[in-house]
Formats: sequence, C-alpha cells, structure tokens
Amino acid sequence: MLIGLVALLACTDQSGTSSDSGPSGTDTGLAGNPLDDVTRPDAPEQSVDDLVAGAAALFDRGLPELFTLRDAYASFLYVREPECPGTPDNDPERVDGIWNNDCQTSDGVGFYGTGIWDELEETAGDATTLTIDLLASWELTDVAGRVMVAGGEADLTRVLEGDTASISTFLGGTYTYDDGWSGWLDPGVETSLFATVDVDGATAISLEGGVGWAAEAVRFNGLTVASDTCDGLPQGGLELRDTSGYWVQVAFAGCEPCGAATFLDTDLGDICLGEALAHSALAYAELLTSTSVSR
Amino acid sequence: MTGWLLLVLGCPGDPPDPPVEDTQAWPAQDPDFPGEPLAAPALLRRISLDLRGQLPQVDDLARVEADPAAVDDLIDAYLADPAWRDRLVDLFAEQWLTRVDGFNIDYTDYHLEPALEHPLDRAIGEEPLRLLAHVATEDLPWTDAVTADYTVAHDLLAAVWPLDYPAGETGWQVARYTDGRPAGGVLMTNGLWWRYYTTPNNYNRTRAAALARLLLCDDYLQRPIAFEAPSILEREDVNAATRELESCAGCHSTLDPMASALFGFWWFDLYDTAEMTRYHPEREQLGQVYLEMAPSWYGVPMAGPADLGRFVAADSRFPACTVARLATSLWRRDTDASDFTALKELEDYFEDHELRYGELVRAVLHSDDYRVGALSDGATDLAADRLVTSRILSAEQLASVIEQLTGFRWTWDDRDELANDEHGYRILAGGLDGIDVARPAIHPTLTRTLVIKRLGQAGADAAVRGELVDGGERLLFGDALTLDLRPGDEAFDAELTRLHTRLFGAAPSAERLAADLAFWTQVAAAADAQTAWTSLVAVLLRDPAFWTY
Repeated sequence: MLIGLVALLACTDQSGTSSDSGPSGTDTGLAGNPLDDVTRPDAPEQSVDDLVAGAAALFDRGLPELFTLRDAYASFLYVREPECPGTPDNDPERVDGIWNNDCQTSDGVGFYGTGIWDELEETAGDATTLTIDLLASWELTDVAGRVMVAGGEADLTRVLEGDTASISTFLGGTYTYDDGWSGWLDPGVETSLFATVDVDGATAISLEGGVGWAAEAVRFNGLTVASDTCDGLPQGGLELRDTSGYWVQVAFAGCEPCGAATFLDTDLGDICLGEALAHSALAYAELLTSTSVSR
Repeated sequence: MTGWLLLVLGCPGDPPDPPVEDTQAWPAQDPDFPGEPLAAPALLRRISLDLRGQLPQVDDLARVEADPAAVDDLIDAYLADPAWRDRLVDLFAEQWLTRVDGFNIDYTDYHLEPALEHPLDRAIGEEPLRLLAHVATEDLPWTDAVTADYTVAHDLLAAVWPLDYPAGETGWQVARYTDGRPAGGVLMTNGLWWRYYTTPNNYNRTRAAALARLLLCDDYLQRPIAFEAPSILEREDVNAATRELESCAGCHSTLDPMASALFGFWWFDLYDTAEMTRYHPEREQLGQVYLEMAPSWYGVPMAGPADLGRFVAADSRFPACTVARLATSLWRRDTDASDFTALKELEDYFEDHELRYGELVRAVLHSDDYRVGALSDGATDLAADRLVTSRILSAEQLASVIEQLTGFRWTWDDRDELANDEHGYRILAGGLDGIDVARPAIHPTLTRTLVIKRLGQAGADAAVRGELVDGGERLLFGDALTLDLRPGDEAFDAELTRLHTRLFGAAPSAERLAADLAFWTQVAAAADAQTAWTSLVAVLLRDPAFWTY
C-alpha cells in the first residue's frame, strides 16, 4: 500500500499549489514525494518581543483555576431565587447543585443554560479533602448587565493535612466575565490546563496543557516549578503560539530564567519568561492551596 | 478556450491551424463508448439545469439546434451566471452533507428571533460549501479550498461568530475569523466541524475520517477489517488497542494522527455556545494527551493544524478526489475502477489547467458520460446499468426551475419547503437531509411524484394568476397570450408549442398538441380559461419530460 502510494505521489506535478515562500519543507526521506514540497514560514509573523509581552501579560493575569471561577459563579448563586434558576437545594450558602433554565430573578439577575456544580469537603483525622466537579454551559447576567459566560468542564481534588497539601486539578473550556471580575476572567480565557501542586515544606507545581485567548496562547509541555529547586525557576517546555498558527518552543533547562527558543527549524535565541512564569505558577499554587470554600 | 473551438470548427482542406497546446484539448473521448450523445438542444437543457438550475431560453435552444458548437458559448455564459455559484453549493451539499436541519446549538442559544431558526441553520451548513463555491467560481487554484486564510460567511453568522465581516455588507461575503484559527480553507470552518462533531470518547476520529473521505476519497469505513471487538472502555486501553491490534492499527495508525491535528475544534461541552463558536488555539496539541499521538499525515509528521491544509493540498489524492466527486455530481452516478482512464484524463486536464475548477467543469461537461442520451446498439447490460441517459431534477432544481418559470417558491412560515425536512418536503422530493438520507434520489419515487404534483399546481396557479389575470411580468407565458384566446387562434396554438419547447426542450408532436388542446378545451368548458390554463400548466409540470433531463 505504501509503495503504491509513493508511486502515485511521485507522479504528480504539484506546481503552483502552495503560495508560501518559506524554505522549510517536510523531508519524508522519500524521493519525489510531493509532501516534501510542503513549505512553512521560516519565521514567526509576530516579533519575539510581542510574543514575550503577550505571554507575560497572560501570566500576569494569573493562571486559570476553579476557585476564581467558583467565586464569580457564587456571586450569582448567592442571589438566586427558588424558581430562578431552580436548583434542587436552594441553600444560599452553597454553590453546588444542578440547574437548567432561562430566567431572571426579581433583582434582574439572569440565568441561561445549564450548571452542574458538585462540591464536597470532608474531614478525616487531620486531613481535609475537597472535591469539585463542574460541567458548565451558561450565560449569567448580573444586575449591571455584565455577562459571565462559561462552557466546559473542570475538576479538583485537594487534600490538606497540617502544613502539607496535595492538589490535582483540571480546567477545560471557555470562560469570560468582561468587566465583571478581576484577573483572568476579564477579558476571559480558553483553557485546557492540567495541574498538580504538592506542598510539603517546598511547593512543587507541574503544568500540562494550554491557556490563552484566540491567537495569544501558551502551552505547557511537562513544565515544572519547584520553590526549592533552581530558585523556583521553571524547567521543561513552554510554547508560545504565533499568529501564523505555528508555535515557538521554549526549553527551560539548567536553572536559567531564559530558555532556548525555536520556531519550527529556526533558532530564535533565548526567551526570558522564566521569572514571570515562576511568579505566576507560585501564585497559582498559593491560591489553590489557601482558598477556603466556606462562605 | 479559443484553441478547442478551432479544433471543433476546423475542416479538412482549411489552412493548417496554428499549433494548439495540449493543455487546451479536451480529454480524449472513448471510441468504444457504449452510448449515444444527446442532440444539442437536449444537451443544452441538461447543461442549463446542471449549471443554473434553470431551463434554457427558447431562443438559445433554437440557436444550438442550428449550430451545435454554440453550446460551448452558452456554457461560458452559464458559468459566468451568478446562479452557477448557488447551483454549485447544491452539488457540493449532496456530498459534503453539511446542509442539515439542526446542530448541537440553535438560534435560541444566540438569543435570536424564532424566524431565524432555519436561516441560521442553513447559513451554518452552507459555510463550507460557499467557500468551496467561491474558490471554484472565482477561478482560484483549487488548493485554496484547503489553504485559504478566509472563509465565506453570511451576515447571520457574522452576527454571532468571531468574524471580521465587511462593514455595510449583507449576504455571503469573504470574511476572516478573529479567534486565532490558522489558515486552512474549508478545514477551518465552523460549519464543517459542527456537522462532523466528535464525542468525548471519539477524540476527533470521526472528523478525521470525514476529512479523508471528503477530500481524498479515502473512506476508512470501506476498508475491509476483521476483528473480535475487545471490551474496552478506558481511553488508555482504546489507545493501546488502536496501536497494538493489527486489525485496528490498519486504520488508526493514520487516522488518529490526523485526528490529533483537529483539537483546536475540541469542545469540553458538546452543546455549549461559547465552546462551539470559537476555535481554541490553546488546545491544538491536546491530541498528544488524549490520543497519545502527534499530528502526522499518513506517516509524515505535521507541525500542527497549520500544516493540515498544506498537506491536503500537496496530496495527489486531493485533485483526484476532486475530479471523482465532480464526475459523480454531473454523471449522476458513482464512479468506480472502470472509470479510471476517464478520471485520470480529467485529472491530468485539471492539473494542466492549474487546478482551476471551472476548467474541470468544462472538461466533465464534454465527457461521454455527461453527454450520453441513449445506449448504443448492442450496448451490454452492464453499460445499461451504468450509464445515466436521463436524470431527474433534484429537490433544489425543482424549486429553482419552478421559481424561474412561475415566480413561485414554496414557503411556509418563511421556510423554503423544499430545503428542509423539519417542516418541509426535501427528502420527500428526492433530496437529502445529510443525516438520515445521504444521497439524492436518482429514480422517481411516489413521494417525489406527490411533491411535484402539488408544486406544479401551485406554480401553475401563481403563473396564471400573476401573468394572465393580474398582468404581471411574463415569466412563463409569451407576451401575446391572453385569456380571451381560444384553440385555433394562431397566438394560442403558437403559445402551446412554445410552452412545450420551453418546458421540455422540444416542440410537441401533432398528437400531443391535439391532446393538450382537447384537455384545455374540456376544462375551459367545465370552468373557464383561467382554470384551463392553470390545469394544463400543472399537467405539463408533472410530465416526466419536464422533470427529467
């Protein structure tokens, strides 16, 4: 089959089928394979400075996590009414429950869509375990007319015991609350972020997945931050998305604040985002560790 | 274009023609082809219905009868007609199946008026088709269909999707997404992936299979496999099985890496407006987490979704599939291995003409299989089964040709009744909804006959009332006809002959003319002239000679 395919591919003139002038083809190692003629840009569309500034701003807004989302969501559920949105348990002290509605409270707070928030905090001995599961597809309108949009799923398991903490969390989806909340919810975020945080004297964070908004996005590829290692500087892979659709890869190694950056096959020199990223990751860990879910 | 005209018109003894480049010659015809071509007027009728969804004008029928070579001039005119773009959307819809009646979210999720339910669904489903039609009709290289950094969007979509749409415009316009999705033509349209969505355990595999089928004619579901279905539920176990079991790996070794390039369209909630509306660049490499596969194209590594369109464009199966799909559309039958030579010649022609779709259309319109009108003497049963000597009007063609003739468009509550199945009759009329029915009818059916009956009656009523009673614009009838005329009046008899020619592409026989006159006379005697004309036109529109071509 492969031989036949190669033979077919080798017979076809593909002239004029690619408008890119970039030099980098994809060497298949198969002589005459037109896929070798696939070209890509040889440099990012954005300048390195712009890419770095975008990522730094994203880190500065904070990495997205469930507690900020919970606070924003709770600000709506705390003013709910029995029929709107109509969760089975209308305890105004709680955020968990299921609702599906298109309604407005007497104060003008709007609920549209579906929310499933499952939350349980249990204590056994010295350990307190918090689990949260979320399925969100809602538009909530506050009394000022600002809209919080949430679509996606998330989970978190946190075990606090004495001075130690162990957290595993995932936040996936699209979340915005323009002018309604500080940090990453304004202007919003698209996320597929997996993280673990372990606190035992030092704080160790591992990040996997992506965070961003439109073309301004970053991705963590086995990235770790440990407060007692490398002065808290990150180790592992960070990727910055260029508007061309390709990614700039940054490799943090050797306890340096700067990582070697490449774009496809092009060396871009060093990109120095280590400190900004470390600061953001440690703040993220602190928030996940210390936030209480009691009202 | 001039080159082949010279070839057609050139005669023995003429001065030698200037050299004609090979690229301007039509693909060779098969001397052993077991069919006979249509006469020029019937051919023109077929071409007009295929390219415009409209009947040719009587003058044009007369023109090609006198000069069959004039068909080619009219092909050029038809391909320049705006109706060709709409017609092409119809043809693409038959194979891309995106014009469905509903998606995971609807107008309510965008807080739109109920009246926009059908227009919104229609616009979503047509987005990829309109982009394809744009590339085809703007004489752009066909590779732009998978590499363009724009889409073609309706203003309804621009109101709810992240699109940079030209200010002050309405309708279908070139527009650009602003959510960071890479260039990729139709591969980067919401409309395509809303139709071909994926599920939490499918991880874009369905989408990858659709991509391969639609653009490469590589249908994974047609591959012969034999295996005992293992009982596995966990993602990791499924991934392991797709790699380690030979019967699975045969497809998944190429399917899954392709699926891995589609995670920018991954939704964490399948029914969420925000998730579905936007492309998600930050998820582009999520396939490496869920599928444990880096993106690649049939074994060649890709750098991500930005590579996808480039690899499709460079794959030799892409133009070959384009040719096969167009041949299927215009030959009104599936192609198979026995068409290899004809398709390969068309493909060579397409590539010689820099992958311009319009040139490919011209070549297919000159193919034996397109022009066949009858079987040759001694044609085998196999040829009889394969050749489509007569086609039936599709649901879209029925709607457009009745509107052309009578001004009547069958709507209810602002919905086009031949363009939906929730409230309308699209499938009943022989059309497809893209989900339950995925192919247009190619033979008459009972429900289609009933739809044509009602459509013809309504169209006839609209034409007679509008033109002969209210004095509106003449679309169907000649200017000389009035309700005062009677059989035997020169203008009356001439009109009946003209109507036959207009509707059927040929003048009536004496027997048929006599029968129609008798019918008209009987109805007029029982009722009046208006009823007689309405009844006669309704009967003519139900005639197989009208709805076949």
